[in-house]
Amino acid sequence: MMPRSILAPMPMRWLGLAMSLSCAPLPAQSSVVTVSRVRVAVQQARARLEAGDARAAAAQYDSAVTQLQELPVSSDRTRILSSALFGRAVAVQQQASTAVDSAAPAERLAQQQRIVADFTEAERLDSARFGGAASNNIGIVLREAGDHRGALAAFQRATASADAIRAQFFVHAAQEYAALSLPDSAAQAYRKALRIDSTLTSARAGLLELLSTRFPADSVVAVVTKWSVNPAHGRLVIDALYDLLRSGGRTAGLPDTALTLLAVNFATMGLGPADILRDHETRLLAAVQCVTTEREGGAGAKAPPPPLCVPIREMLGLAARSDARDARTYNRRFDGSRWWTSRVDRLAVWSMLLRSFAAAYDAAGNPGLALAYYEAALARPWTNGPPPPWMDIESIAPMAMLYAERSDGGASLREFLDGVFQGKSMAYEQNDTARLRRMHTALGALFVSRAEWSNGARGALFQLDRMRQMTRRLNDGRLADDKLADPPDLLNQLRVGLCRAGRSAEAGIVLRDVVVGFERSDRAASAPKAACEGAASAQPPARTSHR
Amino acid sequence: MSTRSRVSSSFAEVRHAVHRAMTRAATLSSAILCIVTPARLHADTHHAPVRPRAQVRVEIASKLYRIKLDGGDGTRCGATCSALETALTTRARTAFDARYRFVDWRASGEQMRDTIVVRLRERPRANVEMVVTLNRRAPALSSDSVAVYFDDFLAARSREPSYWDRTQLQKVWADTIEARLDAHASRVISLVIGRLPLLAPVNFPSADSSSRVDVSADSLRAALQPPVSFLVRVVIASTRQRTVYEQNGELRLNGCVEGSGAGQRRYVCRKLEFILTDPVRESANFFAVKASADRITTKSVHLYEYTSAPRNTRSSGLVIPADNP
Repeated sequence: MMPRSILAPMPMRWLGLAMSLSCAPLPAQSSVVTVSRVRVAVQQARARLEAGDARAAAAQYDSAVTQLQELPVSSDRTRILSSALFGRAVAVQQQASTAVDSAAPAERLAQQQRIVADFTEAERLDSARFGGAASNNIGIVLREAGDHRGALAAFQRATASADAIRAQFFVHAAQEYAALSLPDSAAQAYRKALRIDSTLTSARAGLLELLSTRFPADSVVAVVTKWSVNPAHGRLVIDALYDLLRSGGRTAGLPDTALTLLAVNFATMGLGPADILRDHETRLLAAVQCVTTEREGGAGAKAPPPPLCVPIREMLGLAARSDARDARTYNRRFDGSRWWTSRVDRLAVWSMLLRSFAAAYDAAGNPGLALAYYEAALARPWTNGPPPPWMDIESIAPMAMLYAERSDGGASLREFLDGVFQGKSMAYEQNDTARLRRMHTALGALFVSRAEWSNGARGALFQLDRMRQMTRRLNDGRLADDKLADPPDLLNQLRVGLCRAGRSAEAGIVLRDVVVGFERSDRAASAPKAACEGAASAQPPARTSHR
Repeated sequence: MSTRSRVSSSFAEVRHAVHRAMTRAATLSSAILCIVTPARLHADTHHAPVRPRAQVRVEIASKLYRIKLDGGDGTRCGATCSALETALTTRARTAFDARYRFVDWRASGEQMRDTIVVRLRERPRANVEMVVTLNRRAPALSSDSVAVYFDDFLAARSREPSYWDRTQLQKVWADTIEARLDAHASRVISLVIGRLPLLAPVNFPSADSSSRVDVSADSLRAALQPPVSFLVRVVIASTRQRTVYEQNGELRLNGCVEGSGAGQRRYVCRKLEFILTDPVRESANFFAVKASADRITTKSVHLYEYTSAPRNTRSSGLVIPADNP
């Protein structure tokens, strides 16, 4: 039996003049009210709510609740009643949060209690559908009323549900922790949200903002360093790095780190020279206050420019003059790059940026400049021994593809790959597992693109298998939530290649990682369902080598 | 695609944009008045239809793909190719609707001024690329396109016939398109989808104040975090020696978060960048330009950085009822 106070129609005052003002009539009243008719009315109310007409939706939901009172109890009635109560509460809350509030405090409190009562009753009637959502919405109502403790308790209940958007409920809980000055709990809640749904931008943005405002700067650096590998996070990471640049100077070395990480993210996002000039020239110059003040009569010339103006102008100079590079400049002797080429770690970042420019030229149909910039990124030519440690390993595969298109019968490619293998041997001698993993990944990608699968070390199966080995070795020393993951698309290629080579048991093991990888990148629906799915239609492993 | 070559649009285009905005405004206000009185209008801005309408279409322009799908010489998209285009277009609409919710994505078949075209085209001997472009029925504000790697040409050429099964390709290519959209999200929004103009009034800042864009997060289906950025194209009119000169500029409003004032939810933007776009693009001090100008008028308003709110939730976090009771 429902409490009468909950099922009672909303007072006319509460509804305002919604019904009389609305041009669209409510469904015609019928002498026989049936569950089906009310269901239609509830669906119409939902459509109005979705269209933004909360007032009309509230009136229609209210009418549905009243009509359902007249009907005998049944499972259908209970289901629709819970929907109508939930919808009514949402519609009224939405009206309340957007309306100019002239109601007295006591009236507002009464309205809030009615909304909470509707949500509570909807959850009681159908906890499977409204368990998480109703608690979450109660939390929103209490939060907007300034009751952060009550809101937190409601969000905590919501996080315990199995709702599909449970991760979002963790974000709401995190916001309340932050509001209650509990930053550690807030950070933990954001991280839980990301573990459930790594694509949830609001959780990433919230965590970054929290770290920026409540934690030391190196916490932000640690997080953005980790997130810098994924272009999808680029925008958030870049914003956080600009904040660090602006607030630079408080921690030794921090502005330098922020700038180099910014360049890493430009490369991760695949920005070309035009992108950097368009979106970042003004921001970079303003962030460290090296904007010239020509329009203001050169007043800024009195003080020396901040030290970071040098690397910023070097980077912008590279972008501005990029089209004019001739073939000779690829031998890493760029004018005006003293800051970036003065240390090995900066050289590595500079090389990444050069690769990003190369990819942009490649996409724009300029293979000449693409080749020049890839060669610069790889510090080519390697005339005096193996490639240097700062070379950009991710440039290997696209560089090899460009060489393969040359008309010299593959001589450039052979010479290039010999150098790459020489560099890999050195990495083995130095037991540099991280570098080895990247080299095996790059070579795996290259051999997959050339459909060269089974040719020992010069085949995709070998290289991708080694990639997995190196990843496992690196992960042995890492915490559970900090494990490295191989690129899911390459793993998927390995799965298919293993099947084609008759190694279906190993393909089954790889499949598990493929599925996890696709889920992680929000592509679960596209993940293969069986170890050898698609293997029959894949191209057969090539037996020939490029030699 | 040099930045320096991206020059502002002509006055005819400006007129076109203004006329279009006014026409739309007239249509919208009559629609709104049907539901609420003008006095109530400000309280319901969350359903003011500020969202631009557009369609998305997938085109298979690669000759190699066309030949593999239907045979022939690849100059035309044959029956299998067309069916695949239709299926991919349907999937793309769902994908765009989830990612770029500030646009009202309409079904293909409706007459639309604006269409986002996702074109799979090949570059000789290199690869197949996916180009995302905004096509406008009438020539209007300039638009860029984003071209990204889609497939390896040589590998595609040597694939077995069974690879070209339409049902399988539909799944694989739809997944690839979505993955590429995500990897290049910021460029796709700022250079292509964000070029669709919003119907949103802008209040320019005076020194030390904030800019204001009068739309709510719910009306844009935007998440409250991270903040959005707007790009406002402006015309600066100034008089020199009794002659009126007009210059075009772009005001980038960054870090815009939703606030409220006078009962209206709107975006408040504390950071701005200003660029004069003609005769060449150059950074400028907005306040200095504003002080010396006769007037600055808004030509069009666009989203530059944007993240969708999850479906079935409002920007406040309120979960709305599911479709079917």
